[in-house]
Amino acid sequence: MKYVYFPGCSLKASAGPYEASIKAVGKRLGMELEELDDWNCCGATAFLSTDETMAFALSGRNLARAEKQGGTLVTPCSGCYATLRKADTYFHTYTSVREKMKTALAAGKLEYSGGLKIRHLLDVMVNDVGLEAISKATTSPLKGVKVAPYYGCQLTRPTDGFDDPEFPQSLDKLIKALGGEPTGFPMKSKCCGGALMASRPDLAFDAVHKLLVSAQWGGAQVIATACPLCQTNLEFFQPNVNKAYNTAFKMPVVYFTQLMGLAMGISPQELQLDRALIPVGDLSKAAASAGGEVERQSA
Amino acid sequence: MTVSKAAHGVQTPEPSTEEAAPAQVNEFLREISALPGGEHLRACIQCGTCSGSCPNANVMTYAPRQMIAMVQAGMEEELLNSNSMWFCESCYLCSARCPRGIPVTDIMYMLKNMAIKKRARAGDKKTAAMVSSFVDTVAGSGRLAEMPLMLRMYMRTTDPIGLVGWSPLGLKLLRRKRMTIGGALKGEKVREIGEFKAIMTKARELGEAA
Repeated sequence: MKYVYFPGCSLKASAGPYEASIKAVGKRLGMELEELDDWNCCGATAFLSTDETMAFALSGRNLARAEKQGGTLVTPCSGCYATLRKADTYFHTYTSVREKMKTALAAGKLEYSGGLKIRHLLDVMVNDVGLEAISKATTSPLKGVKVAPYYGCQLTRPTDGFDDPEFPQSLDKLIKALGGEPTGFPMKSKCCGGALMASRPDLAFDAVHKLLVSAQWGGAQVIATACPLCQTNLEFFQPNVNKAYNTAFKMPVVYFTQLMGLAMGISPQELQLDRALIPVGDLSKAAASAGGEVERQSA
Repeated sequence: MTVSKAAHGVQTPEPSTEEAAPAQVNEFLREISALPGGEHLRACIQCGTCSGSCPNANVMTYAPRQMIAMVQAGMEEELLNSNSMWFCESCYLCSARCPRGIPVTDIMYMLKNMAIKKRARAGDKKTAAMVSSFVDTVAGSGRLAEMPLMLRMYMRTTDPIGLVGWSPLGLKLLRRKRMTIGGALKGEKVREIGEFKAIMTKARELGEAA
């Protein structure tokens, strides 16, 4: 099956390792991922916050180009996924939105008819490639590796997605198919703080702190994410969170495709695990070293 | 009509003296209801599920349930000048849980759109600056570059010291090649920049006309 691959801006910058692991794993699984020609930024929450018409036109350019290229659009970024999906839903639901999108696109000689399917990479892995095929491709099972399955918010919400909005299971099942052990993670679909990390880190640190405590509570030695922004907030800002909350977390945070690659015997270098800020180390070692000691705040 | 700024409870509008007035539809409510998604707002039963689900309700001047009540009460100025919608993380938990199917997160976006359009005093200047910096960066090149975004944001908030605070992280990212100087400064651009700008210019016109 052919997919139009929409990487999003992060995968060409700080989330480069996500893209490297997607390419390595995709090749191993025989997936045909063809990058969307001349894609642009999805607009994220910033454009929707500023001017909805511009936000929908921005997404619309991607939808129009993907429809022309042919195939289902697949993106590994939950932000891009939610934003493109919203533009498409509004295009179908509201005549006023549809007319404006068409008029704006026509100014660039583009057209969107509304026939595109928009999917997240996790959905495609679990439901198209399938857990059985993934299990078969697993040559070095992640035996005893305790993984916190982190879904974040925009992957499964608001509604009508591929998994339950609040208690999703896809990533749990995928980790099991790789031979790993998904841990109990009550905060698994809570937000990482999103873009507020740039403007109001105080609020985002609180979100990340709660997630780390929750992952540790379940005995995780590594957190797996399906979104570049979740990965950034959870990994890059762990030292800041430790300082703010008097904790000592050193929890590695990987992209779920990096875990898939490891289980398929692909080298850590090819998966670019050496670019992690918090070293992943030897996952077969016991979970004990991963968790920070939480010193309860005297509230 | 006098309105209370108290964090708890929202005064209802004074009863209309006109007979058979089409009950309590103020201009603000009419405006929001006319926007795509806004038509659901009047279905609110004030159950508070949205506020109870919101990760940032504790720092908002008005929590989501109150915000909806304020739209219904026509308290435009108080609401648009508040920090409330700027603290929305767009996590969509309120939307997923609302028993009346109100797209609460989308209403937060509408309020931000309106606050910008009507030049309300940004309730949280830093977040508003981040959002506009993001938009300016992408509108120019079609793709997001991290350094220009951060530079723009800190210029807007005139906080160079805040920018310096990011340097330890920047160095770490450079060391692990999670960021390169050239890539960070220039970023990527769309190839068909003419096509891209024509679409965005038209969309801006359509948005302003609306």
